Amino acid sequence: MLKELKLYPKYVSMSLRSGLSYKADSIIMMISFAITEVVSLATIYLIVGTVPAIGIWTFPTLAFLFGFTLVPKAIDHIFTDELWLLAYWAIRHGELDIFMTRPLNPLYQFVAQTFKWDGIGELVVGVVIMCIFGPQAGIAWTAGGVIALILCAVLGIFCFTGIKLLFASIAFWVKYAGIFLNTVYDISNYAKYPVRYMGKAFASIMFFVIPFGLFLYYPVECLVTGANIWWAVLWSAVAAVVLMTLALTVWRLGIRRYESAGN
Amino acid sequence: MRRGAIKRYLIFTKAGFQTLMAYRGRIFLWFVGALISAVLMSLLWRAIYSFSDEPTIGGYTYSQMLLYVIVSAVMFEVTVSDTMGAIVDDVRYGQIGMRLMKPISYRLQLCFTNIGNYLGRLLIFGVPFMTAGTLIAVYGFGLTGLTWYNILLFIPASFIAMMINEAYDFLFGQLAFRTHAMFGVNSMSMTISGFLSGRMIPLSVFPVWAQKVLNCTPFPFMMSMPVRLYLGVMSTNDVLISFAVAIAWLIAINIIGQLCYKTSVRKVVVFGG
Amino acid sequence: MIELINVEKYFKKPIRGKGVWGMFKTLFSRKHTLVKAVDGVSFTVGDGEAVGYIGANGAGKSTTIKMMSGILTPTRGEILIDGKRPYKSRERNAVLKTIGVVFGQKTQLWYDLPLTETYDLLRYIYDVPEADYKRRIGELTELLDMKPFMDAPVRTLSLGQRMRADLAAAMLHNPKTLFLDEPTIGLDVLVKRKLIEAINELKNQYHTTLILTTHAMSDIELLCDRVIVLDAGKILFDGSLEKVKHMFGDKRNVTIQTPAPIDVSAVVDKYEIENVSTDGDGLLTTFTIDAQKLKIDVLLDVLLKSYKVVDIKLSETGIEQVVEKIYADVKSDDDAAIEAEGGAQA
Repeated sequence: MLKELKLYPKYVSMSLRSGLSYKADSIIMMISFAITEVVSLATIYLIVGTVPAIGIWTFPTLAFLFGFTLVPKAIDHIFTDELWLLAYWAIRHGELDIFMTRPLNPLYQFVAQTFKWDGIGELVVGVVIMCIFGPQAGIAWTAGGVIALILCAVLGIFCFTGIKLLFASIAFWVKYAGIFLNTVYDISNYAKYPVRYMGKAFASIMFFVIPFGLFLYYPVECLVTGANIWWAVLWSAVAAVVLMTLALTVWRLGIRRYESAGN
Repeated sequence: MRRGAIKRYLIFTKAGFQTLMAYRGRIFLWFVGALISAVLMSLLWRAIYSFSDEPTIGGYTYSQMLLYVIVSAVMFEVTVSDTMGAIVDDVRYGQIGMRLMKPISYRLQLCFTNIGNYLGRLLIFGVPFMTAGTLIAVYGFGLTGLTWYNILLFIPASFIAMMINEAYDFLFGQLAFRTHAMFGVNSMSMTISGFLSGRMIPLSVFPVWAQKVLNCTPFPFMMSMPVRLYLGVMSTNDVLISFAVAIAWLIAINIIGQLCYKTSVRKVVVFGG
Repeated sequence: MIELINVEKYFKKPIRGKGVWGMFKTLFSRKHTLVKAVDGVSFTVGDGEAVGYIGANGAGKSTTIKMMSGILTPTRGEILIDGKRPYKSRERNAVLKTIGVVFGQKTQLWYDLPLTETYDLLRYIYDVPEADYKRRIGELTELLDMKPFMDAPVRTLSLGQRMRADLAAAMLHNPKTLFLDEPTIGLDVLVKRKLIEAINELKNQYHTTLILTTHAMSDIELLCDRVIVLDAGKILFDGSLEKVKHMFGDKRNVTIQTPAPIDVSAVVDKYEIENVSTDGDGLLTTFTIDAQKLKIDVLLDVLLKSYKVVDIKLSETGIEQVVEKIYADVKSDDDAAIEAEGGAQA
């Protein structure tokens, strides 16, 4: 683990420098991600605008929730974007071979090779939106609440990574893992809506099966309703540990049956 | 175009259909993914309707909104175009020079291939998914107002929508000659057209001024108009005018695309593909 | 020392149904066919040996290399590299530090950056001390003639340059064993020759154990002293290069193109020609000879004098021809043995 940490800056610098020749591309990506998120916010505005409020959720509150969901999503995106490639391509086409012949964790090597700085666009949009709507969201702000929310965001990164790795790893067994991952990942978009009012079945799924609701929606709900947000921290931690353990286990089982390509 | 020429391009339509058949497993899963998304969206709408004082939102009852969400999700998968992807691949693998040298029009080749793709998506997935969605809306949620002629008219309307969508894709796809960041360009152009065409939410919940502006753009004809036609919420007059305007837009975007294409091709010739 | 003990690698291929419904069934069905890529292989390679591991496409040679280099896990059997198993998570790092791998079809070099960047990364991954690293980079640059392209981004290198660079990357940490999986694939004759010579020098200088798969018999002749032939996942032959040469001879193919089909009987009767085959509507005729018995210049002379030759092509013998011959020999030996046994019993 120490070696991996020590090497990471080296990987980041290599990834950044190899991206230099495509700088314009990264900027286009950044703008496109930012536009996508602004459009999402406009969608929320229009939907909520049709009614005075959805229960406790007014537009500023939902906008704040939206901004919050972007933070862990963007940070995960910056560090582990390569997992998409794993799901769609790398496992099926034997692209792990090279990494498996080196005395360093192959998953680490694969993921570390790309540092996706254009994800910063999403991160900035998220933080800016939180700053704008935080004061209007009807939240009684305390220092403890802010710290808890930051903790939830950090744990949320691991939850995102865990879910991505879990579904990318099924590529060892399943042909279209990328599409499964895509479908599951898209569900995270619904955690920025009032999950609790969208039906018991859906809420249960979002809390206990694919827990986007637990680590994205629940912390903000606690803040808005004045419930104890430390419960959200605890549940996010549980979700992070469970998801990462599950994902790494599935990855380990998968790598043992890795078939490379064209034996 | 002479009849022989059309026949030559119909080969591409057949090829597009066959490619689709080869990838039907994967495309089936994309349809399922879109449907899951539509179900989640309809849950959100249900929550919103339950907090609304009015029985309709943006002029739609809940059962209409439900079908709107399903039809737009399925229609998106049916009318999605492969044109941008094809240009990107041709540029990336250095095939573009060769393609441009052939005595057939690259533009028409892309277009006809996409028609085959559309037909396959419509017949194999679109029809069953739409039928299921419609039956659920009618028998499960008491939807009324659907007519057989509106449903039949949906087919030409979705065809024109696909053609506009494809022309729009061709316009943006040409950026492949200038940048490698086509993933970003693609997601940006999809987000914009998705939002402005009424795929994410019906245009009738937009502010009135925005609706007026949008009505002067091609976007509503890529999604909103065919879906509204299907739901039977358009007057006969509206339908006729919409078809005429949609066709006018189709021609206009193609002309713009063609003009841009001339400069793009010059770029390819300079760099030797 | 590398030991393979009854190594098997089976792949399960699901039987795919047709259509959307079939695909659905595939997801939940457990029906599959079993592909025996490697089917009970045992051999031992001593330190400093150079082994050519050959076989037709799909014979299982890449699968074996991938098991020895930590990529694939054997279905059954054991692979020990100096007593450690590369596919066991606790032992793999220790094994991987002592081996180097080069794939002809894949590169481990960072695509958009100069070579030195990848080498620097590898130095940290393999914990090579800085002094050793500097000395080695110097030696390898010299030996593989890499100075001209050391600072160019990898994507601008030619295939030959890239292979040399990949070779250096695999040798940086002074591995005890070097695995080369089709290192000469796609290279033209001169570049190929140069690469093989460089590998030979590396081997002599560092006393590296070498395991090589290839499609060109000439690679084996120049590099290896031992040959293992694999067929359908089983070892068909394991012996010295001398023995292979003795069994197979020094085969050459000469193909001539003529304006009309030719009658070869006169030439075949007069000279010692092993095989004649025609192709392309009888216009392409290939003569296979043993260069020990019939000099190639003599054959060319005869052909040019006897026929109206439009075009001429000399080609090396492919591995397929060697395998075919060995296969035939081994089988006939087996038959003879069985017959002898049967005779004894009777």
